[in-house]
Amino acid sequence: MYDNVLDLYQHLRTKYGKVYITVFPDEIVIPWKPLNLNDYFHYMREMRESKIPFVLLEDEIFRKCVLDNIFIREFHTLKAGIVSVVAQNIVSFSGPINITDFNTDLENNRLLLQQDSSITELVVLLTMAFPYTPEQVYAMDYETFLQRVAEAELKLMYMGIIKDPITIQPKEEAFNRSKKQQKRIPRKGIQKELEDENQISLDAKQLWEKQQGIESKPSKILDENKVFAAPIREEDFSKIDRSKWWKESPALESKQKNKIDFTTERAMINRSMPGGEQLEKQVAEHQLIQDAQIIYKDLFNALDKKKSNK
Amino acid sequence: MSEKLNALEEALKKQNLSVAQTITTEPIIEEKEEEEKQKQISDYLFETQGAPSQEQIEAWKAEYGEVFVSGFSETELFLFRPLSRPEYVQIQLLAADPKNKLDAYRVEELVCDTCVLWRSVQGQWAAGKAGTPSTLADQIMHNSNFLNAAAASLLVQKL
Repeated sequence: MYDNVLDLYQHLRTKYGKVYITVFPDEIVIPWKPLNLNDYFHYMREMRESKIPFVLLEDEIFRKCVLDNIFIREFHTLKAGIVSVVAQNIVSFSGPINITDFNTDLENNRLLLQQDSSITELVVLLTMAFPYTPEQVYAMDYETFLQRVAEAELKLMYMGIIKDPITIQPKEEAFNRSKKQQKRIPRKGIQKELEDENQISLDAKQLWEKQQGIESKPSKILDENKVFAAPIREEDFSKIDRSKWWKESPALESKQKNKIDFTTERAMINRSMPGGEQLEKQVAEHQLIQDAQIIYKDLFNALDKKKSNK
Repeated sequence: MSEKLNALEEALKKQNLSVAQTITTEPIIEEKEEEEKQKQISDYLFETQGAPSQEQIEAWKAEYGEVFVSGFSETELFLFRPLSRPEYVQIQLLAADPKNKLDAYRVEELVCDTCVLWRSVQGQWAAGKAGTPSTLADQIMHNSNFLNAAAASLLVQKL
């Protein structure tokens, strides 16, 4: 009937659409569709309960899911294993067998979604703006889809859910943008740079604050590259006088500056000391002052000259 | 230079032709081997006392679609057909009914009784070798397209 297998597959695809087929070694090709979730869980429950013989459930699943009526009409002439194998395939492709398989299937679908992420985002946007289901959106033609996206964009902007019109960037530009952000940028002008980027901002917190009438404060945006960047000094080092290496002594402040008063502390210390120790302390202090005047004579003379020049 | 290219092209053509010839000759060799096997079996069946004739075998083929032969030894030959779905369901329902008290071994014998068309050794299964009904039942189930889960999943394709 068909020259090769590909012709047969093409015929089946044209007739039934994107369906599954089980191909047996003796060239029997059986097209079938998976169970919906409701039926899948129903049959899994029945199999667990074991009230109905498993063979009868297999026959039921086979008759429900196989698309070619010839196999259903000539059911009694089929080999026993054909029905069992096809039913087994239908069940395995209709739902997860265990949690590990479910996680694997979900991860695969996540990867598939990432490849068409821009279209998926637009579909989600449409379902947010209008009471469309995803199936209805995918059933649209391209022209209608674009029209609805533009209308959804307008509606969401009026509602304040999005700020700017939607722009979808190609993957290369997004990659370059992320690369650009990795470069060191000075701390000044961070906010302006971020505001310049066109992004769809759907901030639930901002929406809630607006609804509550609370003024939202701009949140600090920390970029680790900027946080750890070297600080920029505002002082101009060229104007600093480096001729004198010492700083002005706080002990030689001008009369206009307030002096630090230690009399209270001194009195407390003196009261805590016995009489002999107080005398010794006074003598030691006097001796210290005399010795310092000898050692730092030049310094004191320079400071006096400075004072007199002021 | 062009002469060299022409010579190379001719050499390649000859090589491709020889490869094509080997490809076309391979299935012919396989068919010949299959025919020889069938001839050996039919000759042996012909020599065996009480064996069905070729006409009988052809009639069984017309009725059941396929007929298989299994030989455990020179004196133990079995002709069988695939198990149909209604027969399999009936056997399973009988086994599932606790009143019938059917164990796995009795089920194997039931399968053999249903599908074996002719056997060289007559008598009850219990009188013969222990593994004969089990092995024969496995062969019948295998030729009735029963597969394990892993093999079954390999048969699936998505259009």
